[in-house]
Amino acid sequence: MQASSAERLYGFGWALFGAAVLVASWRMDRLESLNINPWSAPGLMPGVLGALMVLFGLALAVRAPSEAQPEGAGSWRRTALALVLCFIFAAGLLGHGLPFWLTSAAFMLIAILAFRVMDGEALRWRLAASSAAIAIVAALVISHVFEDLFLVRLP
Amino acid sequence: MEGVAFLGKSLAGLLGPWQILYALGATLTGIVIGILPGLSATLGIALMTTLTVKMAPTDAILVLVCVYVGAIYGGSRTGILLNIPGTAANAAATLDGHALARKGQAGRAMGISTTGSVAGSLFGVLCLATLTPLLAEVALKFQAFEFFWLALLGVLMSGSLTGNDPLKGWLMGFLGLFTAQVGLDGIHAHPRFTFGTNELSGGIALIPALVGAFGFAEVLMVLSEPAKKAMINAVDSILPRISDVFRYWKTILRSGAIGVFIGILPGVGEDMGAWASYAAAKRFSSEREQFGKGSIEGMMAAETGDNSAIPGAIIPALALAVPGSAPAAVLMAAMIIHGVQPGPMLMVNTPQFAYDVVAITLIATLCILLFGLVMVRPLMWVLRVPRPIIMPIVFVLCTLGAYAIAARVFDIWVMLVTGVVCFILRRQGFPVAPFVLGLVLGDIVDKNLRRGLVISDGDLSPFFTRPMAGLLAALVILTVLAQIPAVRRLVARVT
Repeated sequence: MQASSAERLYGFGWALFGAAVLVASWRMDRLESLNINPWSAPGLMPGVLGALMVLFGLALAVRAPSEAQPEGAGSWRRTALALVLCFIFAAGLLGHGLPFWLTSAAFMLIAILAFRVMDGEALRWRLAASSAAIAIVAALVISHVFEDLFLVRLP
Repeated sequence: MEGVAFLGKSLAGLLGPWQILYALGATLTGIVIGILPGLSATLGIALMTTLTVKMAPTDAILVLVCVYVGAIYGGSRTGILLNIPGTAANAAATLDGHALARKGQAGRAMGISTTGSVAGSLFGVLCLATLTPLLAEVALKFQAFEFFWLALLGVLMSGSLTGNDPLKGWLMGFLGLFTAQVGLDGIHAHPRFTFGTNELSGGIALIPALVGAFGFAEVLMVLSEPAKKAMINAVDSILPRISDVFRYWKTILRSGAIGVFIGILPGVGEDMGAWASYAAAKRFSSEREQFGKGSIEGMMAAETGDNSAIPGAIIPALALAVPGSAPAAVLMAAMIIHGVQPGPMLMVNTPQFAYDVVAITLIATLCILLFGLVMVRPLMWVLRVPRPIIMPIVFVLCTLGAYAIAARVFDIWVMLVTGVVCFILRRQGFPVAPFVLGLVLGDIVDKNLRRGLVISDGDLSPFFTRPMAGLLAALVILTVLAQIPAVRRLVARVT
């Protein structure tokens, strides 16, 4: 997608989001039954923000494309793998009864190994062993530091 | 004299063995965070906030300020050796730092970085001690009208100056302000945008959202790109030279003043402090042709500017509850978590705390001097660790950091969703810092707009006719107008 068309698309996206916020704020309860001052209605500020997002979003969509370059140009394959691994660990495994050190060690092992191989390192037993050692040591240290030193409950 | 007594008491309280250990450990952690490209001071402070939640408030703020100062200082190492700024604040120093490294003077560049950082921080500490009470006294006269404009100015200035495109920066600021509106409203406790869920009624917690915006988004940015191999050349003597201070004292004073001033401006931050100091040094230098090619004066100006902006950014956070930068915003949030309420009443209710922060910043400065002298070479190994190893570990820390504040799984979801949204938006050039400022200042903007309108019974004129409110309103309007090309063309034609 070209920069200008992407910017236009994002501009309309912002305007659409702003419009949704504006409508939701307008429809929000104004607490008239509680006899509050109408200028303290809870939807006032979100409504103003929604209107500003519509205005500035449309400005982004219709203006000439900026010279600012988008940040980064990573591959979608790598992005998808990172997203899948992170979501499986944080949203799928944590908080379901498995010990934290075990789930975090498993996540780190798979992620470290996968991305080292994608970066061109040959998949040999030494790579697997070093990745496993790093993952296990890091998981144990993190668990110990958070739980025993800083008295934080682990998920 | 009263201030000196407060400062003496603060210093005496911070020189216990545990406090010294905390300061050294936190500064070292900050330097490592700064050295690792992608990990920012903001993320470091957010993660450490979760670790320090059970500590005494002064100890916790000691740890957080040391991480802050350490991270901004440490980031120049990566810039010098790899030409990749460790944090955004070190981009200006990278220009001459890496040029010096290419000439075989990487150690000299690191020595200048230490000299400039320490000088800048000390200058900033002096300003922090003297300007915070003055600003707080002025702010005691502020009402809802002034606080509304001040907070809005912070978000808009951050949007104008922290990215390449002000329009995108402002949109991110508005998104942050909107995100802060989710949950029970601050005046009537009416649920807003909660969709009937209990979790959203508590609002979007700041730390999980910040960890997502600065941590998870960065993990995705780094892992989505193939790793580049770090090529580290031999390093010459890293010792800072006292002669540099005497030779460039004018540059140091000018850069310190510019850094503090930029730091005080709401929402602008250390990176602008460095660039503005660098530009001023180049303008007044007799060797300006050397700038960008390994100028010692340029490097000194940039490092003095970014480090003096740290205490500068803390000044409005303490005196006005409007932070000067994204890391200062997280620091301010941590103060609130620890039961300290920043703002004009801080100097009335708990003046000792303000001087505790001055003493803490001074101790952090001494720590970076110590580590600048003895730990530069050992810390180089951090740069050799491949990023596919670091980033999964950082993600585990992000997950724990998001969860640990309230032990809620929902906060992990907040971190994940914020991270993915910020990752997608960053890819399109939308900066994250204004989002953070918006998130922190959303409550102030909302409450003060409505309070102001209630006081004036819907009359907008006090927002413009009260002297300070009028000045701030004019600044807000100018900040927006100055970025509109048609207005700029008109001004250029007239002048």
